[in-house]
Formats: sequence, C-alpha cells, structure tokens
Amino acid sequence: MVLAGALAVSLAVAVSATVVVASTGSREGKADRDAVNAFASAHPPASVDNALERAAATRELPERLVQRLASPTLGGQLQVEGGTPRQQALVRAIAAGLPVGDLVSVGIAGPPGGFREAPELQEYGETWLTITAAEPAGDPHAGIRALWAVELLAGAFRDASFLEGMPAILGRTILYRRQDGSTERRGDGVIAVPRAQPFDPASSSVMEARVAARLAALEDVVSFRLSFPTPMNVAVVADLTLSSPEEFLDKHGNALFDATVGDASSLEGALVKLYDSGGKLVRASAYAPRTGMGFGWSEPGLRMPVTGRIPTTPPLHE
Amino acid sequence: MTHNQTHAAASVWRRIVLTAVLLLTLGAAPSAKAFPNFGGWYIDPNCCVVTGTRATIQSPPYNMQSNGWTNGQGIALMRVGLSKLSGDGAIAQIGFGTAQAQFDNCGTKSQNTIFIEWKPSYYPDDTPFYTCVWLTTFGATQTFHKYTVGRVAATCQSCFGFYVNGSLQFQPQELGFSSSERTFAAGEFSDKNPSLHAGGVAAGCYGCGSGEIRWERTSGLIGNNPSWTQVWQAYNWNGDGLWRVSSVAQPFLVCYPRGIAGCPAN
Repeated sequence: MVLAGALAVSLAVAVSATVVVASTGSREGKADRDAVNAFASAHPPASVDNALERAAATRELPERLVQRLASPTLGGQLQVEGGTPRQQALVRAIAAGLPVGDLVSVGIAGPPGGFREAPELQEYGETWLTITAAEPAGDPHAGIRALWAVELLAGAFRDASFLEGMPAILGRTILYRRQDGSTERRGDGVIAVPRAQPFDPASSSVMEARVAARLAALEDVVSFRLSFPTPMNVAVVADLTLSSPEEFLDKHGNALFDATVGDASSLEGALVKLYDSGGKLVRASAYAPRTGMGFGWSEPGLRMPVTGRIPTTPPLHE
Repeated sequence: MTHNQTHAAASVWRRIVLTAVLLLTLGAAPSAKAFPNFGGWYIDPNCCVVTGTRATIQSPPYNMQSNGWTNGQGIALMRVGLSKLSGDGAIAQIGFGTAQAQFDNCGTKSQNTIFIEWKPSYYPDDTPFYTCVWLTTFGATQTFHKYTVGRVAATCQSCFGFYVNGSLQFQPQELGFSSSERTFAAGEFSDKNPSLHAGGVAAGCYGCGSGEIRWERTSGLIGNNPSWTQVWQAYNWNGDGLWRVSSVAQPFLVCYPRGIAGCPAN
C-alpha cells in the first residue's frame, strides 16, 4: 500500500518535472492569463497596518526601566559611544537587565551604507546601533545567549526610544568578539516590526511560577533551571535536562517555545536550551520578538524537529 | 532545440528516475526529517550562473495557512531564493508567509508577514539551523512587494543582501556559498511529518502588481546596479501535484490547492 502510494506520487511528480518554454498562444496559455488577471484584480491592495503602533501612543516605559534610569551608575561596565546622554542612559538602563558580560559595547550612530528609512515598511529613523557581543569562555555554543542579548537590547532600545520620543532606531549591526580578541561581523539589518507592542507585563516571579508549572508537567524533563532577564519586560531563559532529547523533540519540536515557556511572541524574549542526561548541550533556540529574529544551534545528527526548515534535498534532487 | 534545452531534457529523465527511487525509498522507510511541499519554478546551473534573484509577488486576499498532518499546524510561504544543493544546506530566501507552527526559531504568525531566512555557516559541522527574521506584517489583503536576494560584495564570496522594494533589509555574513545551485520562485508548505501531503491554502502572483518586476536572475552583485534577465525557461515544481503553477511565461500564479476559489483547476 505504501509502495503503491509512493509510486503514484512519483509518477505525479515525474509528470510535472518538465522543462517549459514560454508559450502564450495555447489554450493553457489563455487559462494562465485568465488566472493571473483574476488574481490580480480581485481586491485592491491595502496599506500597511500600523494599528499596533497607534495603540502604543499612550503606553509608557515599564516601571523597572524608569527606576533604572534614575540610577545612572547601572550598566556601567558596558562601553557606550555616540548618541545623546539620554540615549546612553537608556542603553545602560536596558543593559542592566541583561546578564553581565554578554555585551561588550554599544555604538549609536547613523546606518551603514545601503540602509535607509522606509516608512512604507514600518522602518523609521536614521539612528543605528552597533552592538558587540562577547564569546564566553568554554562552550562555544554558549555564545548564543550573548547574541540573543544583542537582539534584546536592540529591540528594547528601539521601542523605548519610540515611547520616550527619542530619535527612531532603524536597525543594528551585530558584532561578535571571540575569546582570542578577534571580532566577527555577523550581520546588519533593519528592524521592521511594529514598535512598542503590548508584551506580557507579568513580573519575574509570576513568570517563574507560570513557566515552572508548564515544565513540571512535561514528563521528559528531568530538571530545569530558569532565569529572567528584564531588558524591558520579562524574558525567559530555560535550561532543561531531558531524559531523551530525541523523544522530547519528537513530541514538542515543532512548538518548542509553546511547550516550554509559552507563547514566545508575547514575551520579551525566549531562550530554550536542551541538555541530555549527561549535561551536554544538544540544542539552543533563541527568539527576540521586538526585532523579529530567531536563531539557534543543534547538535550534529540530532533530529531537526522544527517546521519551516527549507531542506536542500528537494524532491527532484540529483 | 538549443544545446541548453537538449541538456535540460536529458536532465529531466534523470530526475524522473531518481525521483521515483527517492520517493519509493521514503515510502518504505519514512524519514524523521521535515518534508516540505513545494510548488513553483526553479532553475539550476545548467541554465546559468546565478548570484541573485528577484520578483514582485502579490499576496492573496487571505492569510495563507498550512495544515500539517499531525496537529493541523505547519508553515506556508511564498518566496524567491537561492540555495546550494550539496553539503550543509545553505540557503537565502525572502518572501511572505504565515506560521501556525514555530517557524525555525521565530515563533508563529497568523497574518501574512514578510520574512527572510538564511543559514549561517558559523558552525561548519552542525546540523543545519536556520536564522529567520520576521519583518513587516502587511495584513491579509492583496499587497505586492518586490523581493530581492543576492550577493552584495565582490570582496565577500558569501555575503548576501535581502531587499524589499529595493530597500536593504538585512545583510548577513558567511552563508557558505557564492552562486546558486537551485534558484527558485515558489510556494512552500512544511510540516514535520514525512509526507509530501502537508497542505493548506496559499497563493502568490509573481510579476503582478503595479511597478511589477517579473521573476529575474542576475550574475552580478546587488547594489552595483547589475543587469537582470527575466527567467523564461525553468523546471516546474509540484510536490504533490495539487499546486496550480501557471506558465513561466510571466506573470505567473502559484496557488494551492488547485480548484479552490481563486486557484483554477486547470
């Protein structure tokens, strides 16, 4: 049965695998043109929806950030260059809610060549952040937390600047300083998500109770450790030791954040690290909703559980 | 028939045989890896050297949706991109999509949202793991944007830029390839199940809309005002036979499943 089904699919795919030369005079060509015309004329285009930003007009900085701004000595270990004293203070206040040592420096200046404001894409401003993360000693994959901190800082500073009426932040450059002192440029990008979305306002203690209850209900979780960076609202770092990473990912791999820390899109950020029973890191998944970026690392050979991968072994691969 | 067409035709028969073998293998021993369902067009190095591709894609009058087999969740994308077939799974792609399941590490989106995705080569020995970025959510109704991805600098063999409407969005480093082995303009559903039948509803019109750019390729560097060539000849991609992919004579419609409203049966 499986064999027959596979053969049928094979034939269907094989039939479709043809080289097509442009033709416009055939019946098929007319049907194609009709289909395209119908699609193109069905509805008028809509403008970009910025309702979230409009709704944020009355929103304010979280109280924890207001209090940090009143303590100018916070975040003093972070090197901040450029910008106004108020912008520098805001950077330090946000960084004070991040793990010490993950970030080395922040530069506030104009965008690098090629980047420009594009309001029609919700990309505003002419101010750019250059943020340097530090590779931690030991496990090289632990650097994912530092790179995640770059995204948390960039997103929080962009949104806080919006709420405070400071110059709009167009994007960030991500630098990574290795233990040997060399620095890699990991990328430059604009941030194009609506500013100051209403993220979960729960306190760290409320969040801890909520996430702990969720993790305690997962049978494959042997133990867990939680921490809660607070660049603006509360982000979650969950280190899970699993009896069987393979089985865990088979059950929860395509909804890892939902299963472990809840709806990641409503959080300030989520970083989930999975360890086997011997304490070896097998996977790390990081997401920063304020910048829209997610990334991670997975041990070689570990099953890829997440939907949305784009395999490079497509059906017609030779 | 030109030399290229002769070569391509022979290649098609090899693909037919290999596809049958591949799928029979999958049917007998289901893989644990994710299997997507692609529909659209692609070209390979038999055509030309490609370092960049672009197209205006018009979104459908609804939010796309993927219905995976396990739990009714998956992702639905419509995009253009470049990829390497061998080795570590390098890819660079841009378009729009929705994610009812977690998209890489980027959480979910219920509304059509612009995305970019690439695989960095920082960890040469790891399992491929992709970096994703959600950009502007532009809603459900028909909006068209010009999506471009390509190499940006002669001094960096594997640095790519992603553009929307000609505006640079992201410029990651070290993607691990310099020219594309598979250049595509196609839709995708993906689910974790070893099935080619992950589906839902999806549509995009390539080359539609005002100020449209047809599906094009370049061997130049984006930003250096390269010359672009419209793609006139390509391989058809129809993962489960239920995609409606109109003639590559452009503009063309890619939609799923064929026969539902707005997606003609033939």
